[in-house]
Amino acid sequence: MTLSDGRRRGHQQQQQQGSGGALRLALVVVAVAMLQVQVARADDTLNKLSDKVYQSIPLLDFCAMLLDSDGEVGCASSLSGNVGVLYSIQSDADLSFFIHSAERSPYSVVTTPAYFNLSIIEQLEATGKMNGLIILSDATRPTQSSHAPKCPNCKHGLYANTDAANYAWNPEGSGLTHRRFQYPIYWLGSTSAETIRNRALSNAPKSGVEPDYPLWAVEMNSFMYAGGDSNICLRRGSTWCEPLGSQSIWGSTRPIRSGDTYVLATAAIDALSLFHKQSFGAEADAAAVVALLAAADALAKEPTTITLPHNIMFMLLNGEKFDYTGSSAIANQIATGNFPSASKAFGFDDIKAVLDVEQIGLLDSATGPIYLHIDSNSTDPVAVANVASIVNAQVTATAGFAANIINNTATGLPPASLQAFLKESRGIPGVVVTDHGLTFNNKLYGTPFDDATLVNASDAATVNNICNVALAIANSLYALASDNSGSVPAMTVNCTFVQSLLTCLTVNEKCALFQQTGNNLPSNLPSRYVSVFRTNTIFAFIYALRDVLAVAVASDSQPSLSQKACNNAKLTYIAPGLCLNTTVAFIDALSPGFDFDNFAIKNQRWNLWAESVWGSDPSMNLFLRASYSSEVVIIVVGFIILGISIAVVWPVRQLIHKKYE
Amino acid sequence: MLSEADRLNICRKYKSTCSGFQRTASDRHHPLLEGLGYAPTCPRSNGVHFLAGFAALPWLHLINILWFFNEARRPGSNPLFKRYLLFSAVNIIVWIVALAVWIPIYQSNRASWGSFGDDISIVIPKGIA
Repeated sequence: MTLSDGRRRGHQQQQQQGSGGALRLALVVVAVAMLQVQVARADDTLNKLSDKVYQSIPLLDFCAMLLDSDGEVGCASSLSGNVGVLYSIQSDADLSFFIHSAERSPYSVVTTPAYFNLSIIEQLEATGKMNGLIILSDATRPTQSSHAPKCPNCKHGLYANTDAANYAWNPEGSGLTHRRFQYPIYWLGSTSAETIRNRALSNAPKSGVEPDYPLWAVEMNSFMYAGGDSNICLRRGSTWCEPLGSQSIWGSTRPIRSGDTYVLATAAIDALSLFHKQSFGAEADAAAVVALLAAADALAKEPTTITLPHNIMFMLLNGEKFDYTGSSAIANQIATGNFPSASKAFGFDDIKAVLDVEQIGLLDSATGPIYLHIDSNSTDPVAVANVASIVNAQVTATAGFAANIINNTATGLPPASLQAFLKESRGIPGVVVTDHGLTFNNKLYGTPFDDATLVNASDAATVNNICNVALAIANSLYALASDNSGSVPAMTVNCTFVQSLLTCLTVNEKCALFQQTGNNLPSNLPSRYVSVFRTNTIFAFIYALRDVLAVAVASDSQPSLSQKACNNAKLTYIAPGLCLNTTVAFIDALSPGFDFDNFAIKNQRWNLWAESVWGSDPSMNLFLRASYSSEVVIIVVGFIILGISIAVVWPVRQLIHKKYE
Repeated sequence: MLSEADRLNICRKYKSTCSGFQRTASDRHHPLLEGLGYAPTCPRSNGVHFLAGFAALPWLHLINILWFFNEARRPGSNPLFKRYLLFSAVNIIVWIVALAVWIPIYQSNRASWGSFGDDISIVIPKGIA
């Protein structure tokens, strides 16, 4: 048979099948028409099959992946998501059953903040059955459980590689914020928590036996792109990870002049939590920020402040919870002669004293004591002792406070921004002011519970204490700036301001104090995680703090000037009616380890904290999971159906072909 | 004049005797070509660069072998067939050995090679070092 013969035969076949083709076409048209009618009649909102199978559960927050020069920290799921049967752990009996008898692996464990601690996490991980962790935020809050390390920021701090780096300033600390989890961890708000709690309880074992499949399960997807450490992910580019950083704020009581000498007062403005949108840090630093700003306000109102020998500069440092990002950036700039600007820079020798205000919101009593920590290994112990005694004298003369100077070689300074300055120049005379002695008073450091409940802005005693601490700081700064010559004039701290600002920082960013300076933030519980560095975006609350500081340190105001007239007069225009003679500025809080322009790693000596990039927002889908045996049955039946359909269709097709030949 | 079929046959035979360099006009007097009426040209090379082009396509060599195996086995076939197929077989074995060595080395060690490992990779897996 030649090629041409075959072609002739096919032609004949086509002609004979002409009538059959028309029939087939008619059948297809009818079938499509029927399908359209079906679709048009479906009137429920969940048209897609996936919507009938999966229910998307919104999350309040999740644990993201961070990287530093040592490796990865935080959580990530696998690329396709982590699937697990829900299992609720609300009691020790639940935990015990999970460890010994639970058989429906893998699980997504649902638990409460009280059970979210290191020992339980380690037990759960050791079972190998846990594929995801869900924390219900509406459960009872713990009273003492810190997620931060026992010695925060110590690994690369001033006392790195010495015994003091292992000292447990935070004995409740479990180090979860700096731990690598191989599964996702989600933080659920009350509505989602309700749903998940109910589903998990329906999976609970009854009389020691777990219910049969199908069981409620979730798929948790929070895949993180970065891996290795920050060196590796940053050399691959900003689509893999981005450096942490933000802006710090500084303001001084008088304009910057060349050759001037300074007294610095610092506080941190960022907070730490495993869940970045729950970084409230009320005791961790909101109270300190409030005290510092109130002190600035009191000092600026005293007319002789600007005549003192030393300029008083207030610094609100950002990124401090990540190995002192902001303070190391400024310390580096001072060391290279660039702070506050290249033309009017000052050096470490020009810094006559540093007052670093750390946690001060949880005083033991109305009279403190207030603890003043100093560095035992300073290269200028005389100057340090001098500064400490001046501050001591002022604190004890204020509001009946008791004060203790702590000079402890075994522990060193507590975690404080001063450590970053001392790393550059060990002779700086500095004092760290805290409400705690050798262990934190804050039992909830680095958790979402270091919040307005812990430091309550509506509590008169708390506000009063912070107000008095602010006065003690103001008096100390005055005495330091005057080289302790002469007496400190009587100053008053505005306690209403203290309460307002504390409310703004711990309860709601939409507050009168911010609005007065033209910062109309939306109603929001402020979370102050430092986040990734952006050159063109500054968080609204940072703008607001800068404006509050600007108003606080202003020496003069010209309320009647318009914005244009104000700028022409070389003054600072904040809001209508607020044209101020004030010296305030932003400064980037970005680790000097990064090259500013393209985030290439420049110097391993500085911290290299970066946050991983992720694709779509982390999500959680709830569905009913069938047993493995039923899945096997389904696929086998599918193959059988395939076999049957082939066995039926093939001979029929052969028959038809023969018939039409 | 020769018939079309005969001209085709002569062309094929002529081309199969080409070996490496271009024939010139003087070859118009080749005994094979008397009566052809024109001078067929050799392919610009006898397939050396043709082969080189295929050197980096191991699957193509495998297809080459499978497709032409029966043709090459027949006694009357072009001797070049056998040569090409032998080259293809060698090529495939070389590629299999090379890849079997390189792929495990690359997969195990890419992470430890640092930036060199990233530079030689087109797609870097996300989520791991």
